[in-house]
Amino acid sequence: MTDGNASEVGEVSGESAGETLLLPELVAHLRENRTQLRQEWASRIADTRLLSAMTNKEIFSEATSVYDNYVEVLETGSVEALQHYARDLSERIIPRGVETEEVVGIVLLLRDVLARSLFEKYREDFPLLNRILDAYEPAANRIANTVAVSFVEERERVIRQQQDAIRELSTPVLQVRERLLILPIIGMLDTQRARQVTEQLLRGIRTHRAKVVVVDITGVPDIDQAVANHLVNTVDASRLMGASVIVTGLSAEIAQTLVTIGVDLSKIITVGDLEGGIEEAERVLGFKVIRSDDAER
Amino acid sequence: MPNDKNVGPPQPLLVSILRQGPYLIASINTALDDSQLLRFQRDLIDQVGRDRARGVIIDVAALDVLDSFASCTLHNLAEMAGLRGATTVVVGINPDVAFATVRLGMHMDTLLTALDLDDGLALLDRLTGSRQHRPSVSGATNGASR
Amino acid sequence: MAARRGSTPGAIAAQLNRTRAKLRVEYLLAQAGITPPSDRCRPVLYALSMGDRRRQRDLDTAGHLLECDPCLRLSAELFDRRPQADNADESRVLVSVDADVVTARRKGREIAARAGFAATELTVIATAISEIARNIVKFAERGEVVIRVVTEEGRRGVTVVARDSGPGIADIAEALRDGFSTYHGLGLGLPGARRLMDEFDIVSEKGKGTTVTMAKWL
Repeated sequence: MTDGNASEVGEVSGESAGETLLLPELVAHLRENRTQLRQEWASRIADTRLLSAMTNKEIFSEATSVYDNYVEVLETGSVEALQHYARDLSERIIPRGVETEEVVGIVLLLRDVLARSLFEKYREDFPLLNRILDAYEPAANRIANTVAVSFVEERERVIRQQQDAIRELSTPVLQVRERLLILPIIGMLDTQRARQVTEQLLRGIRTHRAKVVVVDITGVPDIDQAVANHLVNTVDASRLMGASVIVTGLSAEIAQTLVTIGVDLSKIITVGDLEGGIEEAERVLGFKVIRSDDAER
Repeated sequence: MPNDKNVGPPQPLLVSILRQGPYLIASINTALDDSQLLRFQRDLIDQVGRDRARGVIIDVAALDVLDSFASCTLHNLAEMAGLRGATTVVVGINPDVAFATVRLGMHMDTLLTALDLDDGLALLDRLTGSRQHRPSVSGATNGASR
Repeated sequence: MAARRGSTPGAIAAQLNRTRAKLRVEYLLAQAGITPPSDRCRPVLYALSMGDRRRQRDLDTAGHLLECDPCLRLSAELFDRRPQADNADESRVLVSVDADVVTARRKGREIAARAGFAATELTVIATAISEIARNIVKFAERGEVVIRVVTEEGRRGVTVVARDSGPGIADIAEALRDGFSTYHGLGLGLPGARRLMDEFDIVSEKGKGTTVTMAKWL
């Protein structure tokens, strides 16, 4: 389904079928001269020292793909394949430290190289050259735009991932005994972080087969209602996974927030401090009770 | 064993119900739609009656979501099984599903749940006063539950 | 065909596409009178023809093309008519029977994954879709669910539009009222879906139909 993208290019140039008929000729020219134009482009890239993080072999290989994708967009009017490629390329080169300006730079270089070759070819026929450029320019700009946007979006995705990783590191889940996890939370707890905590807690229950999780919020000054709701949901979700949650270090402020949002505090097991919480957890797990009663071991 | 008995090509087993002593272990093997869930409920309750099971484990690890209908079905199942003298424990709710279900607002307070088959059987033992479950047995159960 | 072979239409279509892609390579090879010089050539050419980026990466097609001139020449032609990839950022599911509810939420999960949502949010979105898709099955004969990746004012997310021309909801306020405190209140699943998503909107006219629009942002 291209959603009639082919006509989109025609629309952009604002002209009738006359313009779009020129595109096949344009495309044919670019295909015929592929080797030479690509080479010219590659040397321009080398001259400007863009993509310094990549080897010449890699640059050439990517240049080939970009060139072919470029021509394909001109031919089909659809940026679909180009988007896929651009995202793919971005995924590969971002970890290598390639910057947005480099990527945009090389695409613009290609645009220029191709434009020059058009000037060269049609220089005897100025009106025709104009019409060819009318068809070419909007498409070329759209291509540059597509690549830049794809690159930036991919970059943002990577940054988000890295942020998640950092957040995860700052909220470790600790297994202290069989089936007992401790989750100490320190610092401000916002919605993003709360989501992180939830994910780690629930996955931790599964990974470590925890039956009790002691969540210590001594280090959390206060939370807003959204986060409070979130934590209550997390406790309920833990229960669905067969685990009970003991909250320790509950400050008066947070207790107040919980009551305000209508949480029945008697539903949540709370203990004063972490040590007490662990003791309670062990009691729940039956560690201090005569072992022979316990069917788990 | 319950299967999709409609006319048509052979279906992979959607659900498997095995007997383990006085218990039934029902594993849902893939995401079920509403009619399949109802069929499962009916088949399971039938079997509880036939086998006079004391306990039922429902392994839902393969369910992609636990929406209002699925929750409702599980609750109904537990209630009907209870009327026939069997205790029901739901196991295998995975982290994301657990959270989404809670966010949805489904309060599963009355449903017994455990982390996995092992814990579920241990819980049934405690509740029914039996000593059926030995941890080593869990390895021998039908792999269809995972 | 899918029914006969015990497979799904999607799997059959994918298989046909693969076969077609391979045939195109063989045709081009025959037309150009080229015998691929190495063992790597055919797998590489097939991967290019199928437009399978992952496979291309695994096979290092780019590296091969640098070394293999015949393949390089052929690759230009393969790029000519690459099979049109599905529009990866949108999915439209027709809903009329129970099984379609499962399909809708599966597709929703796929699309949302492309938008970049984490696993937990994917399940939340899938659950919301399940709730509103079920309404179509229960109350209208048929309808559709369209899931789409969107970018708005710099933020990325996913929209879900569930449309039907069924009997419509007489009292929307009542339908949206959160009576969902216990599992008994099945109702229309609307308050539940609303709770799960960031944005929720419903338009319904008695006798005309219902459209539910939901969105979630990264």
